[in-house]
Amino acid sequence: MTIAANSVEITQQIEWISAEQWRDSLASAHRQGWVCLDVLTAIDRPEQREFHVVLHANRVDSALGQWWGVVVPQHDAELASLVDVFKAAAWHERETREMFGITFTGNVVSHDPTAQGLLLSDEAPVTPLRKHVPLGARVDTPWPGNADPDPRRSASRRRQAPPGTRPEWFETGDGQ
Amino acid sequence: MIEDIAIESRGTIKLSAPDCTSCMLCVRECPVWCIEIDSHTEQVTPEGARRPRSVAVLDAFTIDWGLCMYCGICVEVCPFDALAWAPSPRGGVGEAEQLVAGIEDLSG
Repeated sequence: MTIAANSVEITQQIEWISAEQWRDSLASAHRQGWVCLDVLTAIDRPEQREFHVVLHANRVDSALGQWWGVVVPQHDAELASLVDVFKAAAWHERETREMFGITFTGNVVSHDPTAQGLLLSDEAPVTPLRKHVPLGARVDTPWPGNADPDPRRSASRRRQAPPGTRPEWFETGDGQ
Repeated sequence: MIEDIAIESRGTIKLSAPDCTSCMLCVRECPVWCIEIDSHTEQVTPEGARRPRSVAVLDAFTIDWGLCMYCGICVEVCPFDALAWAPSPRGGVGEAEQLVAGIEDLSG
């Protein structure tokens, strides 16, 4: 039996743009009819020390959608805002700032370090969608995979890490 | 072994408890940690054998349908086809605890 997901083809390609060209390229795309901003978000890539900021926009004269992407270095996590191209970008950029810590130059709220959070409470971890930030449910819950019917195969001899976790989440504290 | 059905029929996941060897592969591969296995080993001496063998005995097998995302990785990794897709989706329940299904429920 083959798994269905293996046969799903990714039909939409991302058009990669340099950070310097980000605003102008999207302004040009907007003029060409890609007027409806669908989503703007980021992907943390800690091993590459970079973020991917991705944007999906739709046309209104057809059912087409298109992805754009830009690589943003983590040591200088700043990107030109698209608020003057897509009004809806204001909300998405604030969310992306809050979740990843990326500043969007030109987005008044995103650029203001004292600006209030959009979605997170004061108790929430800072930039929770960065991969080094532990997922509370994964750290607090005992992994069911630690159980073993054969006592000779102890957990300490096994090298497999629980899926969906990162080793740095367990480096401090009780030495799990 | 559970009867082979079309992969499109992702209604629920069934367990064939006699085929399960408690190898823990499904538990450890599950991305959402929704499967739990409780088992122990027993010494069994097959007829004519010189020394006893350790055999895993399944005590409990649960899937928490409140966590499961129906990805089917457990079905894929099971080396003994003890897990398989079944077409009929599960009905709703009134309490969250009722989403945790045990051997009897998963075998039905």
